[in-house]
Parts: sequence; structure tokens; C-alpha cells
Amino acid sequence: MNELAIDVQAVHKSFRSTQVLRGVTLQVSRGKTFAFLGRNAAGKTTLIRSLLGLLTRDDGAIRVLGIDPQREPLELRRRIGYLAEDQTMYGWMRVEEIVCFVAPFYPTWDHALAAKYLSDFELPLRTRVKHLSKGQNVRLGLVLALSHRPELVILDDPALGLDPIMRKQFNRDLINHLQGEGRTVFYSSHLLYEVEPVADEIAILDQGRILRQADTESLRRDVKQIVLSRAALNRAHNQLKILDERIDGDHAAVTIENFERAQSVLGREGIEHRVVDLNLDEIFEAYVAGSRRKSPDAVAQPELQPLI
Amino acid sequence: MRTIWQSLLWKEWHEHKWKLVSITAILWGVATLAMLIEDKADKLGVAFGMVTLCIVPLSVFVGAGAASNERSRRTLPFLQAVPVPMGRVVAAKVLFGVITLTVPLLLAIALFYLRSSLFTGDGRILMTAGELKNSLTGNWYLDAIAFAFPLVLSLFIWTAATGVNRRDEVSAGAVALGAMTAWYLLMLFLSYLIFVLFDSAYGSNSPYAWLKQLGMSTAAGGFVWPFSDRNPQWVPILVGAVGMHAALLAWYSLRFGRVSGTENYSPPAARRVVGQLEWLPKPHKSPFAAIVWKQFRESGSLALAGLAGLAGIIAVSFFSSPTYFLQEPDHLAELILGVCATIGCSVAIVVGIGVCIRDVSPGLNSFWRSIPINVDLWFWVKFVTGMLVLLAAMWGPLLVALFALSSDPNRILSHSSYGALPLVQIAVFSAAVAATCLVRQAIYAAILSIAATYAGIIAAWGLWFLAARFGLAHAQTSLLSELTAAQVGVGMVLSFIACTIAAWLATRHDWGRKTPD
Repeated sequence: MNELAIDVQAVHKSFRSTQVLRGVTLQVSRGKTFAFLGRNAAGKTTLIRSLLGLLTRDDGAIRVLGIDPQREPLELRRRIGYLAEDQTMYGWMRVEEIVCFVAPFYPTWDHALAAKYLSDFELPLRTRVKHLSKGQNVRLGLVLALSHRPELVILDDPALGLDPIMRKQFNRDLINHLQGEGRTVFYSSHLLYEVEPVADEIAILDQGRILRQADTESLRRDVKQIVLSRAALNRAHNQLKILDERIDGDHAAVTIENFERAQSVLGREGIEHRVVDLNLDEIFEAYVAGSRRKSPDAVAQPELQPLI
Repeated sequence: MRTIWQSLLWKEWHEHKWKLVSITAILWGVATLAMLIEDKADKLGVAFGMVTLCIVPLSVFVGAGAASNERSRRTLPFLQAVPVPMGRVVAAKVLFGVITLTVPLLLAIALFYLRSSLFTGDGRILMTAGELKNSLTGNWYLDAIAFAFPLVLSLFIWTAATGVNRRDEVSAGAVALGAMTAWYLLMLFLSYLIFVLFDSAYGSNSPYAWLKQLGMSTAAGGFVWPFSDRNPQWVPILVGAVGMHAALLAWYSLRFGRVSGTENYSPPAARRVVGQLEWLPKPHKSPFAAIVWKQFRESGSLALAGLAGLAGIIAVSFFSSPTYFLQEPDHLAELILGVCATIGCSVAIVVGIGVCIRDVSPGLNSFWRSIPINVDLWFWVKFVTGMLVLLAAMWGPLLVALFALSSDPNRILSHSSYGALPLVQIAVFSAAVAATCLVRQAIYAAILSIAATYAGIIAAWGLWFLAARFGLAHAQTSLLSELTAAQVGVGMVLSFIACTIAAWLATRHDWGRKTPD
């Protein structure tokens, strides 16, 4: 049995002259909760739509549950659950009507399970979808995405627009109903504190490229901030894999990758330093901000044109 | 830097420019075809009639856009947040709505002048003694403008005012048609009261006759009443018409943007009632059954609203001369079919747009495509269900009425122009579906569906022309020869086939104008 739920190899996608995905490669193991992080317009939704077979890729290969989404999109969609960012559903339908409408498209639909979710989420069956609150709308989307017992659940920024309490409730639902049942979850977000407690593995996407993929604990162990003197930084600069650096007078704070190796370099050079543990938010910022500084796109400043 | 007025006018110009171009192309196409089709001496009169028939629904479409496009595009909250008085926004919308309708109309009349100039040299159109007697200006072109411009203006104002703030253009158009018909019926009822109370005593010289015209002048299209047949009481009637339309404009201006819907706030969470058992019904048995159910719910209401509109118009026509129609039921049957011929096409456009306008909106397009739905099944079930709902709603009650009223219904139905009506309606319906799938915007789809239907006729005419050139047909070989009923029929079939295939391919491959989520 294929142990990878998602296998993406060197995928490219452009919309006219805009290159959105530039050789994206990532793997998601079965049974894991995978956080797919990126800023707005990083290409997250484009990759997700490619995973579902809703967009055709220009180059590269994609296998989801062992299926090529472009070749067998229907077979694939029967086996996965999808909740889009700010999901729009037919507002004129009542909650019970939309559930009964969607059910026949899934051969594995479990109507009793749908009824249980509706009850757990306290969704009123006779209310029209357009009269639901944002939180209820997301929960209804989750009912529709889960009631056919999918092997893989893809969530595209599902908590976007929810208030903090609703986001916490959503994460609790996620843990209760998905992780508890051992399903694979592909969770795209740009709210890092939201995914930190639930993610087993993380990939960071920026400007259409994967900057890093690792399991959450390894990432926290591997990426640290080091505070040292400016002179010491100059000495060790070429031997460290620096993601981001900030200079303040005689001191420098650098965020580095491959912390174990950096420790041995600094020890060998006899450089005094202080280590700061980072949360996912700060790690993400270091990768994205660092990549922007190194990117040739960032160097080329656009010519300013006067506003009319 | 632009002034507020420049900014507003720039915005409206960009939102209306393609409508203006499309409407101009349609009116020119219709005028050209009409001049080719009719084998009558009064070609320009017939062509102007066809142009007027086209501009009536187009005025409603453009008015529906002015009423609700900011809400349907969800740009209303942004517009409300800009520090500009809403009155200026409304003024810019009215200005460009009127320009979008009147410029193509003037250009169509200019086309008549060009054609006439080709044949007469000076472009003058001679009028008969009867026409001259009723003429306002003594000039055919000025009379045409004096008739069409108030008509267009009135329909635009009525639609914009009565459909204001509806959630989308289809809804705005439907509400406006309902309101216009209801008002017409009310005025007709008041006229009937005046007839019963006063005319019976005074006969044809009743001093209160003008009151009836005053009432009718306030209805949609009522601007024509003060100018009809050199009406001696035209001043108070004109004041009544202007007053009513000014009131409608004021209503539109005051109401525009005052939405208490869900755009501006999140609704409080609806709750399950404690202690109340809510049972989840059984799901639909198959994808086919689910799609049929959905389509019936979406198209059924539109078709029934259209049917109600038709019934209203027929009632208005009937009550305008009830004794005549009761004596001549055959004429009433023909009236019913005539109304169905003209207004039924507008209903077909609305139902055609309604088949897929929701499904191609960015959010719902992603939603249904992410479900394991066979796209071919989805399209064909929706298309056929929508078409059957349209035909059943339009023709079921009408055929019952026809067979009940007419002594010889087969004679009426066998008339070629009536027999072809369902064909015309399904051609228009498929054109509306295709245009909606491709442009994904109701007003443009409505405009383009008229153009696509006429394109079918042009294609048929081209086929005949080529066939004649190669000796395959005995049809006419001149470019300026008349179109036959067979050519029109083939044109409808061609339009239906081409538009249906285009709509299917657009749905299958998710082709069409993309708007951001």
C-alpha cells in the first residue's frame, strides 16, 4: 500500500505571465496532520486546486491517494473531503436540503454520521444556509466534507474570517473528529498559532516555492535564534546557514537553520552566544523574510511611475 | 487628480462601455435583418418596430443592472464606505444607463437614414396622409426618436426604481416586471371605474376621458401617451407622466444602497430549538435525482414568475377592450400567442440565465466542482430540466387557454410564425445559457443571448447564399434579397445547436470570464 497520501513532484503552474507555482515538491504521509503555510498569494490555493484536479498543472507530477487528479478527478474526489476558504454554498437551500443534495454524489456517504455531526455541531436543520453565521457555515462545510468518511481531508484556510473563539472551537472539532480517527489532514493556513497545536508536519510555501518541509518538532529543534556580537557574526557568517539577521549596534540576532551544526561551529570558534527558542510564527517569518531578501525578484526594484 | 464626478463617471463608463457596444451591434443586426426579411413596402417601419421590440427587454436588462449590480458583485459595502453622497452615484448610474440605451437607438435610426439615403438620395422618408395626421413633427426620424426615447427612459426608470437593492439582476428584473404589470393593472382598473362612473353618461365626448390617459401615462412606457394621436389634453397627461417618473427616480435615489441584508453584518447564529426533535430526511436516491430537484427549484420559480407576467400582460390587453375580445375569442387566442411570442423570449432569457448564473459565481463554482459530480451529467440534466420547465410553464397553460377559447386552434397553431415559437424560445434559452456560462454576468449574458440568436439567422442566410452560389439551392442569390421563414427556422436550429455545444464545453472545461473569489 502506498504510504504517501500526497506526492507532489516539481509542479509548475502559471496564469498567463504570472508564475504561481515554481517546481513545488512535497510529500504527506498517511495519518498525519500536515500544515501548509504561506502568506496570502503564496500559491497555497493554486496547489490545493491542483491536488483536487480543479486546475491543470503545466509541468510536474501529482499523486493523491495514489491517483493522478487530472486523470481520475471524480474517483479522487469521492475519497477526499474538501473545505474551501470562505466556502460558499447554495444559500437558498436549508441545512437538511444541502446535506441530502450532496449525499448521493458520494458512494460511501454515511447519513447517520452526517446526522451525528449536525447534532454535535448544533446546526439547525430547517434554517437556510444564507441565514447561518460564519462559524456555522464552516461547521456545515465540515459536515459535508467528512460525512463520507474520506481518507484525506483538505482544508484551505477554513477558519479564515472566524473570531478567535470560533477558531478555537473549529480546531477542537478538527482534533475530535479527524485526528482522533487517524485521517490524513492537509491544512492550509497563514495563521500559524492556529496550526501549531495540531500539526505533525509543516511545509512553508513562498512565492511558489517550498522553502522548508519538516515535522514540527524537528523544525523547532533545527531552527533557533542566536544572539552574538557583530564581530563574532562576521567571523562565523560563512559557516552558518542564516535565514534572517537583525543588527542592533554591536549585537546581532540571527535566525539559523541546522542548529546542531551551528552549535559546533560556534563552539569550535569559541564564540560566546545566547540561544533563543522560536515559535512557529517566528520560524515562518525568518524563512519568508529571509527568502525575500535573498530573492533576485526582491533586489530588482520596479521603476516608479507617477499616479495619474 | 480626478474630481469626484470624474471618478464616478469614469467608473460607470467602464462598466457600461461593452453594454453600449453590444446593444449597438444587436440593434444594427436586428435592423439590417428586418430590412432583409420583410417583403413589404414599409421596410423601415417594420425594421423600426423590430428595433423597438428589442430595445424594450434591453431597457429592462440595463435598468436591472442599475438597480442591483453593486449588490450582486458585493461592491456595495465598498461604495458605501467611500465619502461620496449616494445621490451622485445614482446620478452617474442613471446618466450612463440612459446613454447606454439611447446612443445605440440613435445609431440604429442613423442606419435607417443611411439605407434610405442609398435609395432616395436625400434620406427623406415619405409619410402617408394618415401618418402625417398623427405625426408629431412631420419628420419620420424625429417621430421615431420621440416615440422610442421616452419609452426607453420610462422602462429604465421603472426597472431601476422597483428593482433597487435586489440581491442580483435576475431578481431585480423579475420584481420590476411584476411591479410594472401590477401598476398597469391598477391603472386599468381605475380607468374602468372612470368608464363606468362617467363615460356611460357622456358617451364618447366624456370630459373625463383624459383622466384614463393620465393614469396610463404613469405606467411603464407611459411617456408615449401625451404624444399619441396629437392628444389635445397632452399637458396634464405629460405632467402626470413626468411626475410619476420623477417620483420613481427620487425613490431609486433615496433607496439605492440602503440594504439591510447580510452583506453588512454577520447574522446571529441560528440555533436548534431546545427540546425540538429535528429529523434529517433521507438523501436523494441518485445524483440524477439530486440535480433535477435542484434545477427544478431554481428554474421553476423563474418560469412561474414569467408565466404570471405573461398572464398579467394578457389580462391588461383583455381588459383594455373586454367586450371586443368576448365577441371575438379567436382574436383573444391570437393575442395570447402574440404576447407569448414577444414576452416569452424575454422569459426564456431569464430562465436560461437562471439555469447557471449561480453555479458560475466564483464561490459556488468551486463548491460544486469540488464534489465528485460528473460534469456532463450535471450540465445536461440542468439544461434539459431548465428547458422543460420553461416550455411547460410557457406552453402548458397557453395551449389550454388556446383550445378553450378558439373555435379552430389548429388553424392558429399551423400558422408558421406561431408554430415556430417554441423553437425560437429554446434557441433563445440555449443562447442565454451559453452566454451566462461564458461571460458569467447576467446583464451581459442577456444582451449577448439576443445577439447569438440573431447570429444563427445570419449563419443560415449565409448558408443559403453559398448554396445558391454553388447551384445547390434555388434561393435568391442577391445579398439584399429577402429571408424566408425556412431560413429563420434553420437559423434558430443552428443557433440552438451552436449555443448548446458552447455551453456544454464551457461547463465541462470551466471556460469563461474568471472573477476573483
